[in-house]
Amino acid sequence: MININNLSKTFTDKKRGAIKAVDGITFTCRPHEVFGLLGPNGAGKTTTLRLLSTVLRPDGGEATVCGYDVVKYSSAVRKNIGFLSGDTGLYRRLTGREILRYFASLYGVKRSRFEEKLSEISEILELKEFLDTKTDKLSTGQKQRISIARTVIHNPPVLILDEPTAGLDIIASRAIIEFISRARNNGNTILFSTHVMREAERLCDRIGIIHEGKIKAQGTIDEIKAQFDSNDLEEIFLKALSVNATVNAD
Amino acid sequence: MKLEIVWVIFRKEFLDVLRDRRTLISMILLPILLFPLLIGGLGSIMTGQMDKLESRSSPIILLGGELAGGLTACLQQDEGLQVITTIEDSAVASQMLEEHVVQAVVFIPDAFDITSTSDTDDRGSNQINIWYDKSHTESALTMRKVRDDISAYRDSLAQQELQVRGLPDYIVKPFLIETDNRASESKMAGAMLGMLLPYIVILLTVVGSTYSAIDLTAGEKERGTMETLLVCPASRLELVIGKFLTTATVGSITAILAVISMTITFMGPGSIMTHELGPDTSLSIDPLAFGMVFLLLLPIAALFAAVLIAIAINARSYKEAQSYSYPVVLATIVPAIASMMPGVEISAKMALIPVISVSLILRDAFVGTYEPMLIMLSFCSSIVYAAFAIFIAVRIFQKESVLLRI
Repeated sequence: MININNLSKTFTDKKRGAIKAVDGITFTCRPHEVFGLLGPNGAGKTTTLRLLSTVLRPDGGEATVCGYDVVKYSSAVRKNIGFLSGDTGLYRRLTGREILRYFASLYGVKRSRFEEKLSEISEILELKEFLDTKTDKLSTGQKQRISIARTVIHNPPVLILDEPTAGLDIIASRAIIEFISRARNNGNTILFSTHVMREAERLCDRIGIIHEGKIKAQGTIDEIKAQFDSNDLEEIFLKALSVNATVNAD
Repeated sequence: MKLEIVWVIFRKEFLDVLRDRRTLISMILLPILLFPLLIGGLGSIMTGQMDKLESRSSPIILLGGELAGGLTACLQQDEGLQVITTIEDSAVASQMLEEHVVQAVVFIPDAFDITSTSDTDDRGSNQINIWYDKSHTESALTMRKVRDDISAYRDSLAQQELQVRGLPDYIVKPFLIETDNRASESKMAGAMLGMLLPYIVILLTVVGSTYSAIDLTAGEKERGTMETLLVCPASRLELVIGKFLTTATVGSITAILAVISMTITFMGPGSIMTHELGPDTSLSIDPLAFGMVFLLLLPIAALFAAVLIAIAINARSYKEAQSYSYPVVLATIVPAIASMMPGVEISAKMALIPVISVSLILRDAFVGTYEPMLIMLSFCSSIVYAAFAIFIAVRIFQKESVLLRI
């Protein structure tokens, strides 16, 4: 469960001065749910997800993950999330197994539990063939599957995915989409950002359209369509970006 | 801070750097091969060249040889010289020396008179000049051969005259001069090692640590693995300590291998030391000196690791980190060179200056001089500096702008 209430983050740039990357956003993401954060580049998607994953500290508002405050209990928050982004890299001199073992150890997964979990994940993601190959010898798709395995090796209840399909081909993207669907069925809380409308339409139970650090509209796809009186998500998206006031379909 | 997590990070990072060719070259190959190549390779080439030059028959010109009695014959007897007496013009001889056609010119002026036996003759004006080119090694060597031959000839003339007059030899040599080096072989070996070792070992340690420090910080950013690491439950302190320990270990391994390689190269069978100072030299270096080297190199490796990590983390890419760390390597050379400077001695104040203190203590340790209080002071100050640098590195690791290139 993710709860965000009036969350803000400002960066200071020498040339541009203070920039409000996230400006008082509020939304909730529940178990068995995929919440899609839609927005153009620079809208504040990545900053929001980084605030939730405790890599950044918010300046205002509050956010909790599984009931833990992201500022006060950052370590507990990190234990409960699996984080994946489109530009996540892998240690190229290590094998997939070594990387997964490393992260499992960092998340405090016991050795016996790790072996169990690894065989379960390898079965689902079909990793066996290349699990003991150094990752610099793997294809993009294979690397992405190792990254997915790394995200869930500690069995996190919450998944935070920052444009996970960015820069991937159709096959690699498909693996991610399937992974997200599977995770929702398993009861995970999933927050993912994208600017690909089709992905959002296909996967998300609810969406939030973010622009200039503010949530411009949020609700289920149908609610949003009704709000903007259109069936075309792309059109809705463009309309939402030009709306000054926040539209909340909840 | 959980030590278990630090150990997990260290184990992974160390495995990762062990598979990095660049780190392996600077950590293992460079310190092992540098000394044998430098001393064995370059040294033997130099020795070989010198031997070749010394055994070669070098051409010289003798001008006015007829004035010096048996000198011409004396020089001609020397197989290392090829005496040319056919040139008479001193300008031509000088030109030939300049062009290295000949290696020396023996010039006997017209006023030279070797035949006079009168006590009242002014022998002070009798002078033989040897012209040579000091910038040219063969010419300098030839000059020495010629000077020795002429000295021997002069001594023989003096001896003959003493015999004619029925006087004993000691008239011209009332006493002998003997130089006696009272330094033990161990001290000699130590002085030689102590001059070079601190400088080279300190330099290799910093070079060895550089790749690892960059790879674990800027390299991690460049590969896109940093954010994944920041999202895991390990604290920033645990991450920095894990990375610091890896780099310090790499630096220490480089230093230890360098010391071992240098010792074997200098002291092993057939090495320069045993050749110069006798075969037992290798046994006579104080083991305590080596113990001291390892003891003092650990805080130095720690200091370099912490400083390099604190610097490299600020870079966005591997290349940027390399350009940031060059000044550190260069800045290390100056204090490391302290061991080679005459008159620079360790003192309580000096012991507080990082790198310089270690450099001077190592130099003294190799000639058997230990100042326990100063050694403790240097050891502790290096550790304090390293701890301070780690503290800075942890602070930098908490800066969002540095870690995520915002």
